[in-house]
Amino acid sequence: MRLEIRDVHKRFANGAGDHIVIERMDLSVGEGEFVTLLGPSGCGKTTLLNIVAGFVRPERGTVRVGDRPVEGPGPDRGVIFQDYALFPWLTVRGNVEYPMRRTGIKTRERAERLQALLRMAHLEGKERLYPAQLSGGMKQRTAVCRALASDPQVLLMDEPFGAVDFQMRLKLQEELERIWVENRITVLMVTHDVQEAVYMSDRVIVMSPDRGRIIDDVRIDLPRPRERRSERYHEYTDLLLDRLGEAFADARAES
Amino acid sequence: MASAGSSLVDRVGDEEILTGTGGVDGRGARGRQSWWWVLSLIIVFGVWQVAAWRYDSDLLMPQPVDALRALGEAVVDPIVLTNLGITVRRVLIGFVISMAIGVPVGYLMGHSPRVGEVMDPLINTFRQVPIMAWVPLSIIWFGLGDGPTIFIITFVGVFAIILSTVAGVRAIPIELFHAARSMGASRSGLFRDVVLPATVPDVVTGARLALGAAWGSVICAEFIATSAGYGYLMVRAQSMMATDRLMALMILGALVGFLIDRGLVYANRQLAKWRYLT
Ligand SMILES: Nc1ncnc2c1ncn2[C@@H]1O[C@H](COP(=O)(O)OP(=O)(O)OP(=O)(O)O)[C@@H](O)[C@H]1O
Ligand SMILES: [Mg+2]
Repeated sequence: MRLEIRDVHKRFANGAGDHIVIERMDLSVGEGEFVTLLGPSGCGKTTLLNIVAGFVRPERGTVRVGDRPVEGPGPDRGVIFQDYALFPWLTVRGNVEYPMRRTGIKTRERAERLQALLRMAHLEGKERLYPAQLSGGMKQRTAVCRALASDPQVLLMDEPFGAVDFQMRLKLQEELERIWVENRITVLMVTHDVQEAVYMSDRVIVMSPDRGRIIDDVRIDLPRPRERRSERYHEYTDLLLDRLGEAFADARAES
Repeated sequence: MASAGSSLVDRVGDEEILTGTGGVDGRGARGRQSWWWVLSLIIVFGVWQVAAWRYDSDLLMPQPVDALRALGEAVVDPIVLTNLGITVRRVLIGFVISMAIGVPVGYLMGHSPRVGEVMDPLINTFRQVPIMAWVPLSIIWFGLGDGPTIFIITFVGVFAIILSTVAGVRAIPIELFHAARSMGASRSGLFRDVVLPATVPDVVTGARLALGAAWGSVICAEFIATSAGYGYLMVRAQSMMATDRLMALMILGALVGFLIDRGLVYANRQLAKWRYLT
């Protein structure tokens, strides 16, 4: 499903007065497209993602999924949180089944879908473990299964690999990319890792801390799965690093 | 878990630390703990025995063996058991009332910042009055017998339950609510799906503190406000100068308190298995 962000404004009141985080944001994510928000810390990436998820209300503007305006959180948009936000009192199975229960999927289909998801994420046999018993990577994959379980039209991810070590990060990126290629769901992801953005995305949106202005919208025109050592891969990372430099310059100018 | 002398708060604390150290380490720590237990009991009885020899007076310091014999008699004495039953019944009634008030109030305060703001100072004011200072007033209100004792038990327990529940609710990460909502939970479904399961351990901790405080204060209240119950029995033993029996009753009182606490620890482990994974 297509995702449309139109004329969105968001400001937060703080001690010094109003802080405009996002002003006049326009962004479209095409059906089945993987788009990444890249930008320095504090530029409003999480805020924008939370607006799309329906956790935060913008002062102005609209977000549409397909032709339905977003009015609050809902199972049409699966969310993967930075710290996964798995329910610690539920097992892997309980966590992955939770959205299916809430959306009224029948017991038999639930069991089948659970197995399919766990197989896809290499989590077979882990159904009965609690989150506290999982490694960081297993938690992350459980969160992916859970977000996909309600069969969402859009997947929202806030730094989904933030809390795992470098090797695991690369591995999980490859796995998530494979899962995405299989499902071709519309994705909006937040990261501040240039490598990750180039590896995963169809388009990378570079955001500035200056009111969330879009500095550049870069299409990554490389065949998948991507070769991290190729020359063109490096051209893209260099380009994005340059753009990020501009964003950091904005940050200095602003403060 | 900890040595016999530590307060309930410390014991709750120890429990958390112990369960935090999972696996082999955790079991090792637990094994060491039970050795400390045995050792501290030996020390207590040893000092007691030395003191008994030194003072050589059954009134001031009876021999440990005499107290233990009295304990053996007490646990089969129908009068002791009846009065123990009366006290346990009071504790349970007071405890149920304090849960019935404390848990909902705790959830409300944790859920709504407005309610929290109003209730926090109120609760903290009432909490400052030493619990036994309520006894005379509660006798005026309820007369002698069950009334004042149950009042004291309820009163002393309700704060622990409220504070523990509030802390539990406030400690739930906002992401868990967001996650539930984004997976199709309704706003009202959040209580059942998130708040309730997340706070089970905190509510049980509150219950533990409440029961410990109740058991501690009920006997004291019974010294004054009743003509039946365990505390009353102790006053009677004292007035008959039966020191060995008095000490036996103290030991039995400690055992009952200990069993109640173990019962709640067990309940917590059953209700919130996910908190105690190794
Ligand atoms: N609830 C809030 N109240 C006040 N200010 C907020 C709130 N949430 C975010 N902000 C401010 O909005 C700005 C953008 O925050 P946001 O979390 O969206 O940044 P981010 O791009 O996700 O940063 P990071 O990469 O560090 O996660 C920050 O300046 C932050 O202080
Ligand atoms: Mg963020």
